[in-house]
Amino acid sequence: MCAQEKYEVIVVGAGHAGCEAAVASAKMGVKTLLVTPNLDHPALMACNPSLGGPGKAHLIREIDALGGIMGINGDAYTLQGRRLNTGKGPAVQALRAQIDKNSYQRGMKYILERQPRLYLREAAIEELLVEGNKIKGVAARHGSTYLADTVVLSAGVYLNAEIFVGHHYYSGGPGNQSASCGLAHSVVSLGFQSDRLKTGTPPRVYCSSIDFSSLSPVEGEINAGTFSFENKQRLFEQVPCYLTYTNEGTHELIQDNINFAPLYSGLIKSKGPRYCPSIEDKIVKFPDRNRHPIFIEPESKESEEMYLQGVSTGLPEELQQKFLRTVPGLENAIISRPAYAIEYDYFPPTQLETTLQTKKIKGLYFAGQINGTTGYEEAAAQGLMAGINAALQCRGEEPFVLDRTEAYMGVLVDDLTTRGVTEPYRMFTSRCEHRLLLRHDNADMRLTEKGYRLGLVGEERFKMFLDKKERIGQEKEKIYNFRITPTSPVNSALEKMGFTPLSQPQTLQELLKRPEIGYSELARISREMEGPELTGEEEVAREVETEIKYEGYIAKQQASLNQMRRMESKKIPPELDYDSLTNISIEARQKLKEVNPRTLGQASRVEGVTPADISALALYLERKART
Amino acid sequence: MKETVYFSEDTITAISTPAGEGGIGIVRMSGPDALRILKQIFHPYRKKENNDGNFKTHKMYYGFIKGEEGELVDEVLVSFMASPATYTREDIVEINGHSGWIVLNQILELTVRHGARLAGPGEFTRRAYINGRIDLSQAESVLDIINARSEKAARIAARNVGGELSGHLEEIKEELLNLRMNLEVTFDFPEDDVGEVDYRGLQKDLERILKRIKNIDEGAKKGVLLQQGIRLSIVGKTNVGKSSLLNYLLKRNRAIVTEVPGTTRDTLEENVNIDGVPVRLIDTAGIRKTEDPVENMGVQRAREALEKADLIIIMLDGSTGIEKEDREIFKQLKERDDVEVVVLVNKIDIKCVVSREEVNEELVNSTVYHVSVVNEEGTKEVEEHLRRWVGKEIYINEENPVVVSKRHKESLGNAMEAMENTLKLAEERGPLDIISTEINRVEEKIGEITGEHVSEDLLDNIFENFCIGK
Repeated sequence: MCAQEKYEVIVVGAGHAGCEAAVASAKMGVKTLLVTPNLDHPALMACNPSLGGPGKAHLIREIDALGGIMGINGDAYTLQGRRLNTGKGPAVQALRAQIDKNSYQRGMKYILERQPRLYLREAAIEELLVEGNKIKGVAARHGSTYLADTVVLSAGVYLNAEIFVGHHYYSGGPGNQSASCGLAHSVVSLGFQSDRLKTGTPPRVYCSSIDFSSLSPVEGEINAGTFSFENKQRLFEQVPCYLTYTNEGTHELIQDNINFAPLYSGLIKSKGPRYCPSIEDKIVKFPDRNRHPIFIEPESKESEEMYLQGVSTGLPEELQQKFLRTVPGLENAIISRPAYAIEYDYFPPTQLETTLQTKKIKGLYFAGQINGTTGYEEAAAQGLMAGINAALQCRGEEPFVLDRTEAYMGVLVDDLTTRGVTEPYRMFTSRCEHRLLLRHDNADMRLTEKGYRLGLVGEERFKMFLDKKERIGQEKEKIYNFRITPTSPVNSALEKMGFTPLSQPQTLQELLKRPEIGYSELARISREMEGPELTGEEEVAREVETEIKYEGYIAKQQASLNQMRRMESKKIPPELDYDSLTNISIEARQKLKEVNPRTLGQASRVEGVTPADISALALYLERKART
Repeated sequence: MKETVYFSEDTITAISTPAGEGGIGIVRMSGPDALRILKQIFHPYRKKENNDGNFKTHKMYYGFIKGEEGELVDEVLVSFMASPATYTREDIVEINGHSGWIVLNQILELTVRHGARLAGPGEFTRRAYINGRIDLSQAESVLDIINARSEKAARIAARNVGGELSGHLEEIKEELLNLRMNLEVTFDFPEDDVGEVDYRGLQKDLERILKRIKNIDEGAKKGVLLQQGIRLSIVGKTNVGKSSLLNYLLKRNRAIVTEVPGTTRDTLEENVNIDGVPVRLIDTAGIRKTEDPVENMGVQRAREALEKADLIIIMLDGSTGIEKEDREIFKQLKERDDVEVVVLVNKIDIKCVVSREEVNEELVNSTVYHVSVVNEEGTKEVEEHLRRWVGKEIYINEENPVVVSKRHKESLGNAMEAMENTLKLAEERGPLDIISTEINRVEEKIGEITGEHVSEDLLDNIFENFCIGK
C-alpha cells in the first residue's frame, strides 16, 4: 500500500513558476504541496544569471506588487544593477540585475521552507490523476500518490527534453537532471495537444582562464533601484561584467563548420526564439556584420564560472573551444560546461482559460515554460497567477484575472491564451499597448491593493504602500497649490538659475511641464521662491514628475484603455456554438472555436478575426441576450 | 489593437440623404451627445419657444445653424427625438437643411467639431439592431444595400484613381513602421548592438513623412470633388437661358436618383453625371443687390456658389449684346482667376451681336461658344468641352493621390495632426517612448483609411533587421 497524502493545491515543479505558485497559494491560506525531483535547485537559473530588463523587470515589479517573491529574492542576491533606458522615456525604463545564481537558489529554498502551510517533497511526478474531467492528484515515480482538487503543472523545459551537442543528442534537461517523459506522456494522453520548441545556452568558462586586460568592463550603478517595493536601495560592491566581440575569424570558423550545428544539419526542426539566436544563427542570418558582442557575466560570487552571454550554440564541444580561441580575452578560456541546444515539449497555451486553468480538466493549471514562454520572469508571472487561481478555487471564490489594461501580466496571459505562440514567447514593452500607464514605477499603485485583498500582501507591506500613496498625494497638492507671480525679482532669479522667465503667474505644477525642468530643478526653484520644500524621496518624485509631465499623453492612453475595457466587459458565454454563426467567416469561426474567448475584446484579438466578424458576433450576442 | 468602432458609446453623425440628390438634405446624429451638440449649433427663430433648450421630442423647430464665430450657415428645420422611441433607440437629432450639399457638409462638420464622430457605413442601422429596434433580417438587408452601394462606390473610386491612394498610404505606413522599429529596438534591446537614436535624424524623417501626408491631404480636395460632385455654376442675367441649359444638360446626363419622400426639390441645384463623375449644376440666379431679406439670402448663396465653383459657365444674350448686369458678373469673376470660365453666347438663332473678341476683352482666358440652347445648336461642342474638362479635373498625378471619402479625409486630418504633434515632441527632445507611441497612433489613423491593422508586424520587422540576442 502506497502513501496517500491529501492537499488542497499541488504544484509540480519548483522552477520560477512553481515557486511563485506554491508560495502564493500557501500565503492565501491553502495547504500546498510543492514537488520537485531535486530539492537542491529550486528556481534554478538554467541560462543567464540575470533578471529584469525592459518588459521583464516590469513583470517582476508587478509580481512584487501583488505579493510574489521573485523581486525580494532577486534584490537579496544582486551582484550588479543597472537602470536601462533612462534617457528614453518613462515607459521603457527598467532595472536589470546580474544575480548570484547559487545564492538565489539557496535563498529561494529557504523562503519555501519557512512558508507556513507549504510542504516540500522531493519526488518525480510521472502521472496526473484524473477522474472524468476533474483533476484528483498526481502519482510519483517511487509509488506515492498525492491528492488534491487543484494541480499546477510547472514542469519547465524538462518534458521530453533532448539535449543536442553537435551530432550527439540525448534525453535530459538543464542542470544535468533527467527529462520528464512519463509526465509528458500522461498530459498528452489526457487529450492535450503538444508541440516542440527549441532553445539553447552558451558555454560557461573559468574566470581564471580569461584575459581581462584587453576587455572593457561594464560597471553597475549604485542607484539603479530595486525590484521589490519593499526594499530600499542598499549599498554593496557592484561586480562588473565584461564585453568582448567575435570577429571575422570566429565567423569563418563557424561558417565552415555550420553542418555540425544541429539546427543546420537538420537534427532540430522546431522553432527557437528569434531574439535569442545561437551564434551560428546570427552569422548565417546577418552575414554583413563583422562582429557580435559577448558579455562575460559572473554566475556566482562563490564560483569561478563565467557565463558567455551571446554565444549560445549547438556546435560540438571541440568547435566551441576553437571558436572561443578566436575571441579577444577568451584565447585561453577553459570550458567548465559546454553549450548545448535543447528541444522540449510545450502545450499550445490556447488550451488554457485566462486563469491558466486548462479548458479540458477542471482544477488543472499550466504555468511557465510548458506554455511556450521563455524567461524566468515570464514563468514566475504565470506561476503567481496560476497559484492565486488554484487557491481561489479551493476557497470557492471567483477567479482573479488581470487584463491587458491593468498589467504586463495581463498582456502576457492574454497573448498566450488568445494568440498562442509560434516561438518561445518573451515579454517586450512593445507588446504592451498602454505601456505609458503600466510603468515599472507604478506597479504598486496598480496592483498592491489587489494583492492585499487576495491575502498575498501583508499588513505591514500594505501600510507602507498606503503611506507612499499618501506622500504622493501630498506632494501633488504642494506643487498644484504654490503659485509663482512673475515679479521682476522672481524673473531675474529664474534667469539666474538658467530658466526662461515667466510671462504670467504659474504654479509649480505648470512649471514642471516645461521640458527643461525636472523634479530636482523644480525643488530648487521652489526653495528659491520660498515655496514648499519638495520631497527628496526618489520614488515619490519620479511618480509625481511622470504623471504631471506626461499628463496629456497619459490621458490619451487612458481614453484608448477605456475603449478597450468596454470591449472587455462584453462577455461571451463559454457554450456559444460558433458553427451556428453563419455571418462569420469560416476561418474566423474555426479560430474562435479553438480559443473560445471570454470577452468580445479577447475575440477581437484572435488571429484571423476581422472587425466584420466581431460586429456579427456582437449582433448575435445582443440578440441572444434579449431572447 | 483592432478598431472597436461599432461599440463606442459615442455620438455618430452623417448626412442621411443620398449624395447629390437634391438641394435639400438631412444631417442626422444619434447618441448621448446629440442634443447637446444641437443646442450648441442651433439658434431657434422663436427664442421664447425653447430658449431654455428644452426641445420637445418629435417636434420640429425652425431656426438657424450658426458657425463657431456666429456666422450664419443655414436656415433649417430641426427635430429632436428622445430615446427610446427612435430608429436607433438612442437620442436622435435631425437637421433639415435647405441649401444644398456644400452647406449640408458645413453642418456635418460643425457637428463633428462639437464632438460627434462621422458614422461608418451602416452604423445607424447597426445601432438600431443592437438596441433592439429592428430584427436581424431587417438589419442584414439594410446592411446588404449599404455594402453593395459602398462597394460600387469603391469600384468607381478605384477606377478613377487607379489605387494610387492605398499605394501611397502603404508606403507611408511602412516608413512609419520602420521609424518606430528603430526606436523600439533600442527600448527592448538596450544592451544589444542596435545603435542609438539621434533626434535630428528622427526629426528629418518625421518632417519628410509629414510632408507626404500633407500632399495626400491636398489631393483630398479632389477626392471630395469625386464624392460630392464637381460644382459647376451657371451665371447670367434673368432670361438669358440658364434654365434651358440646365434642362438640356439634365436631359442628356440625368443622374439616376431616387426621390426622398417628403422632400421638395430645390430648383437651384441639379445633378448630372458626366462620364461617371457627379457634376452639380448650380443655377445662381442673378447677382444683384436687393433689399428683400429672403432674396438677399438667395443672392448670398449665389455669391457663395460662385466663390466655391470648380467651373463657371457665364451665359450672355447674343441678341442684346453685353449689358450692365453682365459687367457686374464679370467684375465678380475677376476675384476668381483660379477657375476656368466658359462663356456661352446664347440665342444666336435670334441674333448675334457679341463676338468672341469682345468677350475676351472682358474675360481674357475664357473659352467662348456661340450657341442656341433651345435649338440645340452648338450645344454638343459645349458638352464635349465639359467632358474634357471633367476628365482633366479628376486627373490625379503621382504626388497628389486622391482621398475619396469624407471619412478618409477625417482620418487623414487626424493622422496629420498626430504627426504634427509627434514632430513637435521630437523637436522638444521629448521622451522617445512617447514619440514611438505617437508614431503608432499615426499608423493607426492611416490604418483606418486602408482598413488594415497595425503593430503586429513590429516585432517581425525588428527580428528581420536587427541582430538581437545579447
